[in-house]
Amino acid sequence: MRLAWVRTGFVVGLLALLVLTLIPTRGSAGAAFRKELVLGNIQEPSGLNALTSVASTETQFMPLFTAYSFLRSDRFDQINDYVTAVPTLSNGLWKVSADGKMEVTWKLRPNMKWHDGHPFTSEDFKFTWEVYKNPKVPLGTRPALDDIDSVAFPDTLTMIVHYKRPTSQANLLWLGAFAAPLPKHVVGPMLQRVGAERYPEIPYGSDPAQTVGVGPYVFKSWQRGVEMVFEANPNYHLGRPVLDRIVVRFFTDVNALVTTILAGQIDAVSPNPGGIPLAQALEIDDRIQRGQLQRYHVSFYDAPASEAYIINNDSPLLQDRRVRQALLYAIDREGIAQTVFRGKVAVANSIYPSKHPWYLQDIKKYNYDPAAARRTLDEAGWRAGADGIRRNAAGERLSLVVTVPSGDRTRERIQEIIQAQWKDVGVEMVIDNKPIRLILGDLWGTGRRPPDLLNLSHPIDEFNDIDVIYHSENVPGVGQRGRNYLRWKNPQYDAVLNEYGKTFDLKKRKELSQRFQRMWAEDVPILLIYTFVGASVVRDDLIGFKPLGLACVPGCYTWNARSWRWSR
Amino acid sequence: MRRFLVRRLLLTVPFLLAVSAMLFLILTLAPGDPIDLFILSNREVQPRDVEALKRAYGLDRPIPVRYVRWLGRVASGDLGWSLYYRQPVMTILRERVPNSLLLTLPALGLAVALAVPIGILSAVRQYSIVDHAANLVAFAGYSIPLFWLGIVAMYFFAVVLHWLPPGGFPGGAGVTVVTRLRYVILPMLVISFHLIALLVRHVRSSVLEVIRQDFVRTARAKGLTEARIINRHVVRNALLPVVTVLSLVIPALFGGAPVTESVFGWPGIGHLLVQSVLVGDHLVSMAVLMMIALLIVAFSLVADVAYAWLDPRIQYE
Repeated sequence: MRLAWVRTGFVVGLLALLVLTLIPTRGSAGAAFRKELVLGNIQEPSGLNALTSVASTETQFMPLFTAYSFLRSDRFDQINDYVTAVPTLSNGLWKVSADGKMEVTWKLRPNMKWHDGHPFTSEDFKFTWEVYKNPKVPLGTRPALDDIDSVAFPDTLTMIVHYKRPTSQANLLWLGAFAAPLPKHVVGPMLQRVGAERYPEIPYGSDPAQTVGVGPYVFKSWQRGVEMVFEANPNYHLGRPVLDRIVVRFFTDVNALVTTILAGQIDAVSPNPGGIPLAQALEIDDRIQRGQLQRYHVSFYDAPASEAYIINNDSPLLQDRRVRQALLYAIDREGIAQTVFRGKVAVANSIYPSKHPWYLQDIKKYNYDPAAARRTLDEAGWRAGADGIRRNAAGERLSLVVTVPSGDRTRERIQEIIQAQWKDVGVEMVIDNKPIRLILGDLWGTGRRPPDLLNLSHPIDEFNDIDVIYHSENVPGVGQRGRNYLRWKNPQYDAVLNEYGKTFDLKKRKELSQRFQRMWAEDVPILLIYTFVGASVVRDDLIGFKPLGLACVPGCYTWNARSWRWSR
Repeated sequence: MRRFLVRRLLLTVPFLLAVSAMLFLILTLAPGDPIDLFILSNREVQPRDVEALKRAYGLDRPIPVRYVRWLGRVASGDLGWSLYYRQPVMTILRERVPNSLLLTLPALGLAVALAVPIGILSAVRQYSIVDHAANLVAFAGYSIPLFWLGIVAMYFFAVVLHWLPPGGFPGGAGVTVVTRLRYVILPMLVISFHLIALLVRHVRSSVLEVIRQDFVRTARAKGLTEARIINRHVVRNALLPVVTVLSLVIPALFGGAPVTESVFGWPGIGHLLVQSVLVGDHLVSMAVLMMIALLIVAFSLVADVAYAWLDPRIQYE
């Protein structure tokens, strides 16, 4: 009797499942005219708070719902957002006085409103500035504090920033990158409630109901681990967006993202960071070429960043530049580019990609040459030992600890290739891979044996400019910026970079950057492997999705989200 | 029975305290703390800001002090604040538990509904084609990794056949029950498949054991029909070991299905646990793990009571 009941239940259940599976899948495929876009992403922001969400994944989402002073287009033009004009020396909003001090004036567009209808004025900037410079508020990025003397707010639409010394980054940084303000009327009371020390706890940027911006879309909902939903802001100051909704779906597993694209459920995936890794984009491109996937295309973009083996320049084994040069000679970078990335990436010979206008053609290059590597190491006093690993006069072995973010299959594969190639010239690589959060939390480690090299990306762009990365003042813990991860300390470099930082003339800046590249190529303070190429996977009928490639500038693919639309 | 229950409930307290202390120790000794998360999104963070944050969240104190403070807060109903999700831990759990139940309860129901009859049939017709097929499925279900099965199921049903959505979770106000069910099917089937494999083997072996007992032979000698013998005499006795297995499986299921939820992007407790461990959000990990520990204790108690109900010979006094 009981078994019969179970059997009946089972048959009914199976029938119900069958009926459910036969209902057509709701999704992007086959819809006649859509006002919604579904983006796929493998990194989820920890929040959307202008002052704390400064990771590159997060700054890609920010321009959807809030405003920056200006953004960069895919052709790197400036697109003014909340300002009437971006300060420059020629328009007179950026003045440099004879004593080297500077004054930069920002004029806001009139009649702008936050999503809740509250007026958007310089009061919001004044409030954000107070939070930004409050030492009790635990913020990471305060790079401008080193340079700014004071800020004045003469009226509701004007801000004047006074600088102690000249800095070429003045129109990029004063409240973090591109200065996105906080709404005083929303964040003010929150901050009073939790106290300055617990600023990260405020719900602004985490709870959509308590988060307002001035951008093209309203932050509507966020199911963590699943999706963020943005809806069109009909009162957007640059005009209502074409799409009604943008849904960003998050995937913890890159294979699940690829499968979802193949199922036609994702409309666009941006380049990394957060978007699709190059290896997976190549896999999808292959399917498209073979006719296994229709209605999608893969685009590739040169990116202003390189894959790097960042040298710990405090490491005693790597003080001699001949050792660093030999390490580079011993890596078959061209082979890696051809085999791992099917020739889509190029060997990085400079900090700039080869198409960059400042790229130096006649820079010293280190093509794969194991014989040159062996010779250079011999000259540096590292002789082959009985176990095949080189030793110096003091008997020390040339054994280097290399850390790669664990779980990153492509990087781990390349690490194995390099390990074999170094072994061939008598250099031992000890692999000590760690999760990315542990690497970034404690870059060079405090353990018994810190890594000698770290595998991370090396961006050079307007935020991560050469003076920010290579000046000894910016070694972590020294100045406000702390972005000299390489711990590179060289007075000759500092002299060139000081000059570079206070030079506004582009021609002169280019000359200085090329002088820098020459020294850099000779000294090898970092091992660059290949220049990044970003890839996006986009449906053919989506118009206007034009990423800048992999970049650290805010909105590298969301800069024109307002005008994304479907062709039908 | 009542004395037994009271005794067991009292024993629960030191057990949970010991478990919580061990978990707290393991999680806090693991490299990285929640402030690393902040650094992760703020590569320019200054050492003095890190120190200020550590002070603000009490992470500069010794582990025993932190544990006692955590215990005190938990006792007053405050599970803490998640630095990663930027929400109170309780709010996150409240969102996630129903999602997990929506997935795991139907999976459990389906698994029991299928595994019990298959297991019985497989034992009753030992070495028949049915038995071999059931064994094959059971071994397959047991040995195929869940993440692989998940990806293959997604590929087959969503990419090749276009029958079901490939994963995700239908959010928003306008989502109908049918839509939600369609998203449930694939991850539910994957979890069920694994559970069925587990249960079929247990049901089969315990039915095989009971079927050879004297009282079954007596029932046959009395001239009862085979169906009646199985229904009335075998199944009830054979279910005891199955209850033991279920009492271990159910708490784990309430704690979500970490692998399946992660592959399908299902925002349940399992997905939360994986995320919180990966990003070092210890307060969230503690809350989820303690919830699972509590459920294990509760269900082992339920199993003990169920033994007595299923087999009147079992006495706890």
